[in-house]
Amino acid sequence: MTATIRIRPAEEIVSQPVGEAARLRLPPATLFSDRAMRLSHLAPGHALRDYLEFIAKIADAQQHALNNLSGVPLPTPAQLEQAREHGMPPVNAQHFQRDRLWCDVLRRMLRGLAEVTEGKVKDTIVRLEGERDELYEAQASKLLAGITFGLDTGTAPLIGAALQVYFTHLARTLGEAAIGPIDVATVCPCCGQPPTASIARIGTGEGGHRYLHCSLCATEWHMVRIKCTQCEATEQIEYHSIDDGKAGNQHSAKAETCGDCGSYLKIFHQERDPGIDPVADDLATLALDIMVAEQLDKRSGGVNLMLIHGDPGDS
Amino acid sequence: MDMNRRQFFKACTAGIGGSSLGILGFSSQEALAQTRNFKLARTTETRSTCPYCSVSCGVIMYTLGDTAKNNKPKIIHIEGDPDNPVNRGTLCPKGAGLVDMIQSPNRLKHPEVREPGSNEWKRISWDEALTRIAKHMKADRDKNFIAKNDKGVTVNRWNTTAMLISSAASNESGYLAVKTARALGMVAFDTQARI
Repeated sequence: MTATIRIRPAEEIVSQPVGEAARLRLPPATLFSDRAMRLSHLAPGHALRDYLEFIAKIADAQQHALNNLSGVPLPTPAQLEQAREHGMPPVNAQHFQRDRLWCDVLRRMLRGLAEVTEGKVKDTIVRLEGERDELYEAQASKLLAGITFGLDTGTAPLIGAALQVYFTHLARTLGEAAIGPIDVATVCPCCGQPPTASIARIGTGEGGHRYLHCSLCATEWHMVRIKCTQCEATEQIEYHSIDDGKAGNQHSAKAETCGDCGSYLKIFHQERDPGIDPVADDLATLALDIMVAEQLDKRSGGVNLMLIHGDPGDS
Repeated sequence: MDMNRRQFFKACTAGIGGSSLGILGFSSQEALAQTRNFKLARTTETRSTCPYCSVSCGVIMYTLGDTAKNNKPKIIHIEGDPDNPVNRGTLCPKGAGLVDMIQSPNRLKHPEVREPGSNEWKRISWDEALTRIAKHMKADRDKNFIAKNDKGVTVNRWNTTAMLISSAASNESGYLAVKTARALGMVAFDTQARI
């Protein structure tokens, strides 16, 4: 672990300007291709190999869709000003009037994915592609509101994937200037959605700052470490990682649990694994979720649109 | 069960069949087996301040182990606190070795005394240590306190004892330390934070 200590002479530490972490990290243009690459890297030998490879195909389709997306209507300057004035996200995903363009994005992605999949997955994709916009909109609204009643968990990653493309495009187009500070520190300042996980980033400057990665638009916002990402308490924070007898204590993935509100969110340490993608690595560490939920009785504060969990009462 | 819930179901063995991957026909048996074969390791992270100098760098201390019986938590790693505006995650070479100071077998953990004429250090209680120090201070002050100088001006000096306080002390304990030392007339007075 000593590799993570950044050493400087004391004189330099004293003379460096007092600094703060960058408030936001907007999604890069290569967000989805990076994710696809990461998933392909994680898949071989993994217990969820087939699923990771399937999500990698989705990520490839997402990148293609993002590259070709244009002409998306943005919020008006008056709407942006109003959001800023009241400390609200500029495109609050739950209430924002989505342009039907996103349904076309979904359909094109599904057509592409149908060609590279087979079996039950392909059947689901083809079936979804034949549905009307109204069904897409209804499922999207449930997904963005976190409503599980009537939500098809099977098609949720596909619908979620198109929504991610649409909102990631919005975040990138709006830019940092339009995404002001909001009153709630635990949801995305761009779209108001919950995070997938948090990640302690490395950077050209200081690094080590923790960012929450938005589950929808991939905007990352800063939150200090050792603090609950759900209730912002700092007293009973613990970190749990899987002890497989191999990695020592150098795990790049930990569950940050809070004794105050009973929730957890994964935190990834990029210093220990530079290639980490919060969405990909969250999927690849599903075992940690199940162990933390079942052994510690904690509830995830994160959402990963690529894997919506089922009702345990159904089985 | 609230069927209109505003939160997704949590990840669990029983719900995996109804999850996205279960519904789409992917196998999760191997992943579920992992959860039975491994256990969780608990660490905590605690913010503190480096005790060495006046820069007062923020540090994060990583402690491994749970609070169960027969399990002594151990500090396994210390690094600079990236959220601290002073050092922004960095540490000097001395501060970077903090964990070795904490784990050092030579670290002084309790008061010790070497009696006059003896060449051995003997462990004593805090009560005894404080009593001995107070007695020494009083004896020295009674003997050497200067109330007035040659010209008859009141100076109230105690020049023969000095005091060095901890660099990890807060503003408040620094304030109290000054009040205490100066009230006794002590002149030679400093803090490790300036070293």
